[in-house]
Amino acid sequence: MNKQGSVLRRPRTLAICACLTALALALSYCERFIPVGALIPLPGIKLGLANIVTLFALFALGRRYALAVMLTRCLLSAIFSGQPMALLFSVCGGLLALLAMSLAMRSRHLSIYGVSILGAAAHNVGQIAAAMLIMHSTAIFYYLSTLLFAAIITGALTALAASGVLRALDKSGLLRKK
Amino acid sequence: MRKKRGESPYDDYSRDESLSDMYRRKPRWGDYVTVAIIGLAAAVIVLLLVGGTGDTVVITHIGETLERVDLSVVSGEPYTYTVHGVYTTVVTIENGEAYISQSTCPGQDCVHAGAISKAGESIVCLPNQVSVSIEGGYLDVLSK
Repeated sequence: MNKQGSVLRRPRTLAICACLTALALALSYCERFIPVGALIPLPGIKLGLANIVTLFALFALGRRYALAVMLTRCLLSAIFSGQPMALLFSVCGGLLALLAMSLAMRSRHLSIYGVSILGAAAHNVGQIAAAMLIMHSTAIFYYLSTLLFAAIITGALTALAASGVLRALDKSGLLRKK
Repeated sequence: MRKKRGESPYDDYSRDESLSDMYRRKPRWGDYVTVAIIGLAAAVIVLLLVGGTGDTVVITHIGETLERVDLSVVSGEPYTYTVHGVYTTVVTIENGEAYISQSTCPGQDCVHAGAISKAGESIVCLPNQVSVSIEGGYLDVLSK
């Protein structure tokens, strides 16, 4: 009640969160049309464009809002796709990624790049854990190595995008704390 | 830098640098250390789990072993095994490698995963909860 009240008392933040959630959903939908598989023929590799939004929310709004945006996105995308199993995957990955990123943010020695790469890696760890849970088998664990290598690249790319967004919106004044 | 009195916060560009610092948009040394650690972790997983001798293909469905086939025994005629789960997945073994040749699952990731032949490798079909893996690998050998 208290938390909800505080968000609603800041309609601007609430509106930004809603926009970010919609943007994340749109990005994860558009991602399907980018043929990453043609470039790297490995299953399960995604750019993780929605992570740009989580990263942005984390840096610009704080982790509480980033968590809200992430959870809403996972829930809505599971409803839209009609796959309840997808919820387990995205929530496992998303929560672990957010935890890793909010911890990594505290280090003054890491920039948005390091934070994003750690988030992508943690996301993959979460997904592999979810997969092992569903499969009742640890056979898939070795695939984590491939995903970790991919996380370095995709994490850096999403950080590049989020960094650009932060710079642009920073100049526009949207991020200005009153 | 502090905002001067009377200035609108929305056209204050002078804080750009300090804000950029706040959002930490430029790579720092910790980033390179992070990349190195993740790369190392990935390499260690590959080195520990993949490779070595072992040529038994194990087909499982939700943790239950359905079939074990020796890779080297299959010669000439390809060997196929069909798993009937929520979807139907066909595993084919030929020329010393195993792959999922057909699946009715929506993503088709398992079919696109290609063939495996080394110990420790595996192919999974998440929607159908089927895994095809080759037993062995250094970790398996060590634990025996």
